[in-house]
Amino acid sequence: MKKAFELGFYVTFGAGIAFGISSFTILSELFKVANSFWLVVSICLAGLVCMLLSSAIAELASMYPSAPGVRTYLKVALPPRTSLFLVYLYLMFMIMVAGIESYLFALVVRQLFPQLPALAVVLTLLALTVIVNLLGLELPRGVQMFTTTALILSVLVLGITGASTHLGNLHWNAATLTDHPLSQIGDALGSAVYLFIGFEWVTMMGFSAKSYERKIPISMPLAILTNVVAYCIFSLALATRIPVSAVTATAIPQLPYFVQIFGPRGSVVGLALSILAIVSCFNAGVMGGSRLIHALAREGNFPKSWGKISLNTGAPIGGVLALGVMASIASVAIVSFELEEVAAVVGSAIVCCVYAAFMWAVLRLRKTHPNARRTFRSPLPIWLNWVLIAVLPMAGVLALFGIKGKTIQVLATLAGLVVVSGVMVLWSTRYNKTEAEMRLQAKAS
Amino acid sequence: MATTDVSAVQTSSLLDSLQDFQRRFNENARVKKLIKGWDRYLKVEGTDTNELYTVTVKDLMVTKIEPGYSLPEDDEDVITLQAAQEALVRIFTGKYNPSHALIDGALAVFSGDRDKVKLEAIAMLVWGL
Repeated sequence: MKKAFELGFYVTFGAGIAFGISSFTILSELFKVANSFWLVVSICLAGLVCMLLSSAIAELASMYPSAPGVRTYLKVALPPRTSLFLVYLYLMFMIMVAGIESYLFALVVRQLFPQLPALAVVLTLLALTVIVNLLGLELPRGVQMFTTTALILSVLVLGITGASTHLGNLHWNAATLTDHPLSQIGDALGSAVYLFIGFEWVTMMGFSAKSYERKIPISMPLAILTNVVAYCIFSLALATRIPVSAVTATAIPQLPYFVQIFGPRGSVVGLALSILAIVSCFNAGVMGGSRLIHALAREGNFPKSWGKISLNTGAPIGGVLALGVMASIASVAIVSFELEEVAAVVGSAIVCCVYAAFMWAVLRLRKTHPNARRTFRSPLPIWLNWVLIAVLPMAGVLALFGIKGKTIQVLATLAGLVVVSGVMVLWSTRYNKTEAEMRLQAKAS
Repeated sequence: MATTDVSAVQTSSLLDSLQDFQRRFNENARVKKLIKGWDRYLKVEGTDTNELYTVTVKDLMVTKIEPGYSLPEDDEDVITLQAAQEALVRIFTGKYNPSHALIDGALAVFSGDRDKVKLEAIAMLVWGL
């Protein structure tokens, strides 16, 4: 029973952190570049890529159990500046996700309470999350499992009930299958990877060293598979009940779908699901992001104050506040310029590159640390690792061109993030050096 | 229950470092403020030597350091720390920042997120890291 609970916790954690409100936005994006058939194929392919990737991550996790994944795996395997650069890009992706999720939550709330200003809802949500984390309140494992299970089951049930009687509306025929499939998959794959981002955070949650031998390696593909099923069914449900033009016209396509099924009360269903998604994805993401900032600050890459800990609660208050401020800035930008699609696509491209770096890390560590303890070894052949290392960044780059008419905004955002990350790496290197010199001087005196 | 050879324990540098940690921990008034209501067992494991100790934190003090480990594996009050013996000795003598050790992959900590941060906070207070 306890073993089942442990595996269940890992699966729901991985699935829940990947399943946010922005997942529906990405589905809307995918409908812009692929028809319903190739969209489902793209989701399955992206899920398969992430499952293969998860075996590499499981190997890294078995070498460094409980370590802050993205930082440790890249730090031990890649040159210092390269690894720090990728970590900063990943951190900025997390900050953008906080902005996107809170903005989309505000859009859902405004369907019910149109008089509320979006920015006020966004900032209130962020403030509440920051306060909860500052107080050191932790979501019990059971609650995390319940919210994720409720969210995914609801999506499945609502998808199946909505679609089952209208499958004829799909109109799949020979033309559907032969209409430039490679182009459709190419445009959709990178964005579809976004739907699974975060599954790897489970590697920090292992109950014991033994968990990294089987349970965590199994839990990641199971979490991805759960989400593949949920996303595919919901996409088909959208395609059967709503015109594609209506799906692509909104960042929250789940709402018109629920309204179609339940009438005006559909907005309440949408809000309930959004709250579940906020609890399972947003809070865990904010907590994870603040832990990453805390770790980087304690390592000497950020100002010391960002690594501050509350002596009363043990909460990483410096990291939580820093993340809260940065997420608020990102939210203001996203709300003001309606950048949610752009941010999501840029985030996908960034994470595709970071995921490729994980695969590269596995291969490098096998060469540099051949005898290091590995309680799990990825069964993927080396050539397949190299294929994924090439395919993931390519899929990310193709995703950048997926939003027609916004390519310049997308590229400008990406360029801005790359420059900021580069500057932060330079700053961190100098700051770290100065700190080390000051410590040496203090010791000498 | 895992056991440790007593003759090895008596001369162990890991045990010495844990005892040094116990002394500093118990003498530090700020640590007591931090660990109010925080009773835990630290299971300290040397991965290369298989040396194993249970450090009991109870009523604002490190009350016991015992060889071996006899509590249930899934006890929620147990925090497991695993590292090579040399790394553990350096961590428990304040020469290796545990948060650095965690990031370097030299230390594995199995506990809730808050307990991890709490341990870092204790290290900050005990050694000013």
